[in-house]
Amino acid sequence: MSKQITLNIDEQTVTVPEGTTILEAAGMAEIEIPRLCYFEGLPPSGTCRLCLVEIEGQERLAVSCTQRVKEGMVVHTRTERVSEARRFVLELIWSTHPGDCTTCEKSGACDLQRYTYEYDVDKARYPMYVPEGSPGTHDDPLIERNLSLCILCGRCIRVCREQGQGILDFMQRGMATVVTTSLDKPLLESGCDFCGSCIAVCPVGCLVERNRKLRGREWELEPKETRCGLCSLGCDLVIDVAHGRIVRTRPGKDGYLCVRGKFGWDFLVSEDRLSQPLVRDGDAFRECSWDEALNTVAQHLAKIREARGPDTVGGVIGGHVSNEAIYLFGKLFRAGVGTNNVDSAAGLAGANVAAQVLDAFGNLRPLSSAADLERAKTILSVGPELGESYPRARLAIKRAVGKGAKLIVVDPSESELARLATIHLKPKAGTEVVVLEGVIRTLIDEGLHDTEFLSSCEGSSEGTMSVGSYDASLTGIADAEVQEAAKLFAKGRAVIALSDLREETVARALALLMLTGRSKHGLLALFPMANPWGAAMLIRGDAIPETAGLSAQQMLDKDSPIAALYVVTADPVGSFGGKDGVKEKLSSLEFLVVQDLFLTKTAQLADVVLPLNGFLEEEGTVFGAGGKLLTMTAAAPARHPPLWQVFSKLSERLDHAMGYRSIREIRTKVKELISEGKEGPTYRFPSLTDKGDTRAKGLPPFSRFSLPETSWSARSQISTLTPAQEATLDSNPANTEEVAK
Amino acid sequence: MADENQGELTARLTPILDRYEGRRGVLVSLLQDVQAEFGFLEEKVMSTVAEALKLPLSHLYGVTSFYSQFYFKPRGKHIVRVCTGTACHIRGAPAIQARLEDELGICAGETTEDLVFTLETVNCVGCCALAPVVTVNDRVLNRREQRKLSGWIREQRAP
Repeated sequence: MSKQITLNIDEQTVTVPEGTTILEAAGMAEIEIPRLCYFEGLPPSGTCRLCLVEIEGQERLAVSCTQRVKEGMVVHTRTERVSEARRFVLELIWSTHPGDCTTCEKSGACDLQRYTYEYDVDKARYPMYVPEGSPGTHDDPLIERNLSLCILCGRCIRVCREQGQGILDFMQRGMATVVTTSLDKPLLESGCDFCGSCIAVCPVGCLVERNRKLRGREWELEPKETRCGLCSLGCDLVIDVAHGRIVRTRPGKDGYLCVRGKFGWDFLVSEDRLSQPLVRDGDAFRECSWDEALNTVAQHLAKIREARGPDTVGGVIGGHVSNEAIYLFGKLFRAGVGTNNVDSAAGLAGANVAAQVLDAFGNLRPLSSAADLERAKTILSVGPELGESYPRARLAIKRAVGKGAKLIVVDPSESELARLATIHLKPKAGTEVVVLEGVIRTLIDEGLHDTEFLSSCEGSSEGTMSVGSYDASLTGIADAEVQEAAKLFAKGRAVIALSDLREETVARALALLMLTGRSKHGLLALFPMANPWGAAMLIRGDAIPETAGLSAQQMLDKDSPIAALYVVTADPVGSFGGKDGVKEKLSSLEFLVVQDLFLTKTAQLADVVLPLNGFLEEEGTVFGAGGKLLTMTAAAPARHPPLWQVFSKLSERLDHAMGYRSIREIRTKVKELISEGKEGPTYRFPSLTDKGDTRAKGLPPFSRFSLPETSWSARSQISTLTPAQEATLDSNPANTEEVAK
Repeated sequence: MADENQGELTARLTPILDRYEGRRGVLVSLLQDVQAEFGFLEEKVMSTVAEALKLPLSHLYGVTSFYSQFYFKPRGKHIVRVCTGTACHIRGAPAIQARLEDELGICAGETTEDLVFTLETVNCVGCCALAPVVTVNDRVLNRREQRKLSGWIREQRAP
């Protein structure tokens, strides 16, 4: 424990650790010192001079955000002399701030407005100075920069360095100083990744969200805490609602949202969203009531079940929905319809990661959250441009590296993480698996594996132990580099960050964890959907019919026996295009129900289309990246009945009343199911040669790695998503063109 | 082609970067040397330096835009400066500036398209007794040379 310092602030005795600044010490004693440039969590810069305080025995006023406490120091934060100095500072700042508070979006939450009021600043004391050629509003997407309102506090510069792309700085000098990008380029050309962290720290109205404009004043906002649902990381998110509309989102406790959480929810307020259920009327749709729509669905499902048997009916649900909805959807088919033909669209993915993890470890304990990743000593990142695809993971890795963690990056591209890497293994695209096998081989050859842990594993580790020797000619990476990486990986608290979710990659990542005995918090698997783990664990639930069901892939096969299909928040037609006869299959169905936010390409083929609530509009739990249950609240006003009610009502109409009165009752049931699965862990080695129950189609099996590279889809170099993952991503309207226009 | 340029660029930068390797507080000196090598701080050069130093590009621009000695656009082969200090002003600097702007077809602070001339104003060169002062490539012109300046300018531009 560090040395304690006792000092006196405004007649209060305060004891704080050595090295604390006066401003922080005052904060601990609940004395707030005004500040414009200081922001908790960012390095102080001492530029605004608003936090001036008087220290006894010191002639000049002190900058309390940078000056550290000393034993016996006597500080006064509110003397007349201090107030006069602060007023002077505020008057100078205000003389260059030509803002009009009546129309400023920040009015009511602006720190400058607050302090000028508190210090009774006389605006007329200095003439307004607007430098010649003063930059006006910059024409950037998403973020509006009105530089004439900038007070040069530099918070955005510091936060952009810490968690953005470091694209801002003070440019020019003296009265001409502006905070902007290199050569004052637009944000898009400066490498901005639009996380909006700068907006979150801006004390005035200089930086605001473009899409919040005119949606509500600061004092009308009702903040609600929830989680982001736009990837599997589930970051803390606060949403501000006014007049029943979402105004903006901002980071929660974590202090960071990426562009998806910050701006990507805009599809929820799109004019193109479905507002009413639709039923087919010849070649067109007509709007109808929920009752009529549900009756139609139930009648057709019942009719087809009677005529052709329950196994001609099936359901596919996307990976974005909550555990409760997934569970009830499964139950609707198993108990209501009487078939096991129900699957998650996440299962459409070639790599059934969740199933692989559960199979290997027996529970979700090997999963790591972004916070776990920040504490890691060694990080192995596998996946092309992982940092670019998952900025929160990039931030965690950057922070870990800042604390001394070693980073091994397996990435064919010169990505952002590659630049941070201790070792960058740059394989030819598609040969990542060979690299991982090389690491496995080295661990075994050098005796770096955990034999004790291995002996506690069930099943055969033969496949892993006998993995072939590394062939540098396949990957283009020298033996020595792979060996060095393996030795680095064997040391310390390690986390594997994985965005390459192909089954063969996942199997090798799991083998690496097992070989080194890392059964807890060692795997951060990154998915473009909110709830892949829930989808995998709950969709099957307790099977009632005895015959095994078809997978989503099998149901969509042109020769499948399915005659009636219910697709919730997935767009196989939009994602697969004309491939594999998916469209033909869906067009030839006797009955197709699609429930989605928009009239997707799949929905256009449907007989009944049901509207859907978006991720901020419906409550429920999801499994976070760390395997823990996270609660999503219905933060924005719901537009439609929640999914659980839709499924309940349908089930009732199929003569199977589920009997749930609230989503809480379902949650209790879901928790029971999860705890049942929590027996002592059994570790089973992933098979590296036998691909087992793979639903992959079109993904080259591992044994074909000698194929010429041209046979690889070029996409594999730029995207880690399998077509099916894109299916789920595409069904998220944030990613469809319709919204873009 | 692009790689070739990058290769040449790296080759010219490497000795400068090596000279300052591992030292702190040398950014301005380093960038002065870079400017001496390239004539001005081209964007591609700046981003290569930023990458080599592992500093944000914005930081490099923040530092260099603070000083008027750094240039971000190409400069002419010859730098013509007109002193606009008090003494020179009284003795006709504005007229000289206007004449040169007219002859060169650019405003003070700009460079001719053929990259032969850059015209600048300075606040004082420190030889007010010689006012009005004009310098070419840091050499103060005497009266006779000043009279011949227009002819010299035409000569330099002749193909």
